[in-house]
Amino acid sequence: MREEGMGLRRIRRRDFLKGVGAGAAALGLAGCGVDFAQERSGGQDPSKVKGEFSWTREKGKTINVLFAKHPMADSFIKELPSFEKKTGIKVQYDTLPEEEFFQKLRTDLSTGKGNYDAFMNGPPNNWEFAAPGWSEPLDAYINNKALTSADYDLDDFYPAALGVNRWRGKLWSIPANEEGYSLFSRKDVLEEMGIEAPQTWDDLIAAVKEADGKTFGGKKVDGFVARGDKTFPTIQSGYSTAFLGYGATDVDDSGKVVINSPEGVKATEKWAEVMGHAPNNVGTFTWYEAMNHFSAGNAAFFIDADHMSEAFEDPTASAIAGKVDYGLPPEGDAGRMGNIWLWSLAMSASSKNNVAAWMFLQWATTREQLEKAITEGNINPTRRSLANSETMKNYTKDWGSYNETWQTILSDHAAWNYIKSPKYPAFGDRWALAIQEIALGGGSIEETLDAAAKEMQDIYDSAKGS
Amino acid sequence: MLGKGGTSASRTKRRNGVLANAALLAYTAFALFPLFWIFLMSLKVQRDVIATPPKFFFTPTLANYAEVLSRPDFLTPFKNSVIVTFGALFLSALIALPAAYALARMEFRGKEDLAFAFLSLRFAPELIILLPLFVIYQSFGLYDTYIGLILIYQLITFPLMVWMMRSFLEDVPKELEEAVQIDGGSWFTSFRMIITRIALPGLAASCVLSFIYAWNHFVFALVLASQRTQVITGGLLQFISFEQIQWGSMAAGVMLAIVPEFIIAVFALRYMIRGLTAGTVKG
Repeated sequence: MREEGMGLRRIRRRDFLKGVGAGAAALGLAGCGVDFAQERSGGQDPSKVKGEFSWTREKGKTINVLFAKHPMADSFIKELPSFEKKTGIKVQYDTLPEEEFFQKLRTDLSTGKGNYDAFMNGPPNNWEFAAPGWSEPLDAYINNKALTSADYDLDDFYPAALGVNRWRGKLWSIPANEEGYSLFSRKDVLEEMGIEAPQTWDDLIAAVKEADGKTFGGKKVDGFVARGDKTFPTIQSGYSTAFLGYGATDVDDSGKVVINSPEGVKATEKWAEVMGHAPNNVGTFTWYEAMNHFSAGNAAFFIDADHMSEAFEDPTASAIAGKVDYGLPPEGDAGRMGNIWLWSLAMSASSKNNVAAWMFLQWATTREQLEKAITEGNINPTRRSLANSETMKNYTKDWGSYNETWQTILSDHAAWNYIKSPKYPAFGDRWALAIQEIALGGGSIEETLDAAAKEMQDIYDSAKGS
Repeated sequence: MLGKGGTSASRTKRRNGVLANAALLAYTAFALFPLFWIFLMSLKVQRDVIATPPKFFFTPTLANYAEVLSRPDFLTPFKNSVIVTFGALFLSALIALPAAYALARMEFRGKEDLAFAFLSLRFAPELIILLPLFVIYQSFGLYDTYIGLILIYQLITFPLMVWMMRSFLEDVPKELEEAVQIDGGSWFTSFRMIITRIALPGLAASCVLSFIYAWNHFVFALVLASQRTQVITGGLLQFISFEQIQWGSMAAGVMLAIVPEFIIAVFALRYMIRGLTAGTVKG
């Protein structure tokens, strides 16, 4: 994992441009002379707050929160009345689908006069928002006994999850929902073929080839399915399990993009083999299409977010409830590996009600609150003490090995293994384009990766301070 | 009726007429089909919506409408849209009609430049202006307020009204105003007479168009409004959830959301036709 230094002023503008699209925005800004310098211009200095901890410290304040549509957000929204009762803080919120959510969030943060005190973010947003000073580091809040309840217990969070949200030694957001990447196998397919669930990439390739085109459960199935569209989440999910499992890395210690290393090429060859047995239009598949394809019973094997179990095991929406084997990511030359995705809660650096916002972040990520969220669909709690709680066990009791598998993935195999650079989305998008080409069967794997590596190098270098 | 005695020229003419009508009919079907399909979707349960091959025959349900109409996150944006759109239209009419009249009838320096400046409000891609505006709105307390949205919607409705009304007013014969003046009326009297009588179809047309553009607008309210004043286009997003799009509810929401546009269009059409046939001066 590498953390990139950068010329702050430059990045601010660039990233902001990326967020709203088009150099056109530069004109508007230049005309208006918006100053992006961010100092805490209101609110309270978290390191100077003194006194006993009290949930009602910020009584009477109002905070604004921006959520993306997600079961985790729904679970918090449902419990807001109890937060308001407990703290006396009023919460106003907006909920938007992911794309519009990011559009609004970037606008709001970039101007430094934002409306929102707290918001949800994903891993790359930590660096994207921290670098220009849009988001607030949380350490001073957590470490202040006047602001954080003695039983909050930060150490209860999975280290891999907290690790993602740390950048330049500071914690930028609190993880509340996690996903690791699991190999889903259809039990009925395994049984009819008379094999065990695949454990290595070579096992998987053989099984995929055997199952492809055969009829199981009354449907002719594809051997494999995964995300295949040309955006960075494609890299993030299924492909990462191969890439990292064969010991490849995106950028080496000298700062060179090495996705086309011998390990990278070998991993990509394996990936191309399984994707060769995916549906013909897999190049357009995001997680949504891939998940629906598998849960409709149209594929034998699938690698994606472990918590999709929620969709698979819902008998009203799925044709494969009770038929899914939840496996660890397949083993490559370097073992079993996968990337990680989180939804976390973060605070705006320009919040005037920062302490009230912290009360909300803290409340939402307490053990009590995350436990309530489990039955609302936030089924990968980020606290270790909840993984084997009765609530979790009961909720997933009919889901086979799900509850053990996701925990093993998170504690042993999942980590953020890519550049921690504000440029990650652009970097990953270029990479995903190459993987899409390869999965669709175009050209030589080495040449396609070489070409991508060259362009990714430019993207990567553009984020360095110079 | 043309019998055997019809000339070949008139037969050709008639055939062309039939062809033209058939083409228009085909285009109408093509243009209206999406709307029809959304209407069908609004009566389906989710299972029927996503069925392949698509279903034309199914057991209709009104559950989607019941669901949509019971949701405050649909009804509040609907109300907000009504307030903002009519507010914007009213404000625009108030400023744009005199402006259009001046541009059509009066001579003054920089007239064309001014007219162009109005039009140029339509040129700027929204995303260019939104960020500075967001800052301004935050500073002046206009963020998430009706008045703020009504002001920004002027970018949509004002130029449209000025330019449409200008050309309508230019078409009104000057003699009419001269007649008013001979009778001792001021420019304001003639302005009033023209706007409320002769240019009424033009006013109706520009109001309808402005209304539709404003009602359908999305980005301004997405960025400049929040939970208090979010409009209907933003409200419809609520039907996109994390795991699936609630197609049935969204379709029902869309059908309900276009009702005001439909009413306004039908209402205004009456004026347009009456205005067109109410010829004033000859020649």
